[in-house]
Amino acid sequence: MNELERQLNRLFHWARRAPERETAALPYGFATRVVAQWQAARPELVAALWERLACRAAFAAGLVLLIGAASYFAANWHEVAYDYNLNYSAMEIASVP
Amino acid sequence: MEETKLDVADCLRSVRRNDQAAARALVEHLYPLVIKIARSNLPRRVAEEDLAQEIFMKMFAKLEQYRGDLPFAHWVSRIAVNTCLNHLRAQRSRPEMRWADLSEEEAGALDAVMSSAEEPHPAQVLGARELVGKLMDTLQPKDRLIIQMLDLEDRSVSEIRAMTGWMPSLIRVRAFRARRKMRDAFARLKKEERV
Repeated sequence: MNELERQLNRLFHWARRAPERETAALPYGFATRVVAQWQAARPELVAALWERLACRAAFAAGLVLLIGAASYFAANWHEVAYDYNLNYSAMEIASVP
Repeated sequence: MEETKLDVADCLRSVRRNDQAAARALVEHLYPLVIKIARSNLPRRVAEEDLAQEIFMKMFAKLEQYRGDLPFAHWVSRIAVNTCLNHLRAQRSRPEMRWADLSEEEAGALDAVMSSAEEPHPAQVLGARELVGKLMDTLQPKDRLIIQMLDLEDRSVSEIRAMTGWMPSLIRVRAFRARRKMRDAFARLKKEERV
């Protein structure tokens, strides 16, 4: 251990010996103030909770919709392709003068 | 002692049912813990009572997220530590330490530390505490927190882990780096003092 390290350790050692400030006594009315503030913020907290819940529900609904659509197309791919070709051919025939 | 009698689990159930008396009892029970953390990591120009109030408000706001997988006091400690860190980060400027800025007590403590005085004078002890505080102000918030807990409050790595949620390896690495930065700041100060 070099001299610098020794001196820094000594500085910490002395600093630890400094008396702690008076043990925290609760300031008068502090708890009441905090609880009142909490109560005042409660509607906002509930609203935020609902907002979060609504966002999650919307996301889940979107996901279910996407998965449903994907599975439908995967299962009925041939029919969809056939319908598309049929429609396309019909349009071609219709557009021939 | 009234604090030891409080059944925290029961109190939390009541608070969740919007029982204001239970909420007050919880604040009273946790105040010594919260104010100790707030005082140790108090940013400049922030009143400790305001900081404690903010910590309690966050605690109430996040109460639904508490799952009981760690002691409630540890959970609150983490909220307190993170709130202090956010304030310290917002402070941005980390003052450069100059020997000329030291108070008489701090300069005296520095002199005494360097001259290997065995038994310090009470004023030197206070000076040393202030000097360490000023050196710590030059560090990044997380480094400051580690030095505060490890070197000043003499906490173990597992205690720090409980209070911060950081991994022990991260705590050790951060402590090593923070200590090196402190040493560099101290060396600069010594150099200036010699000049």
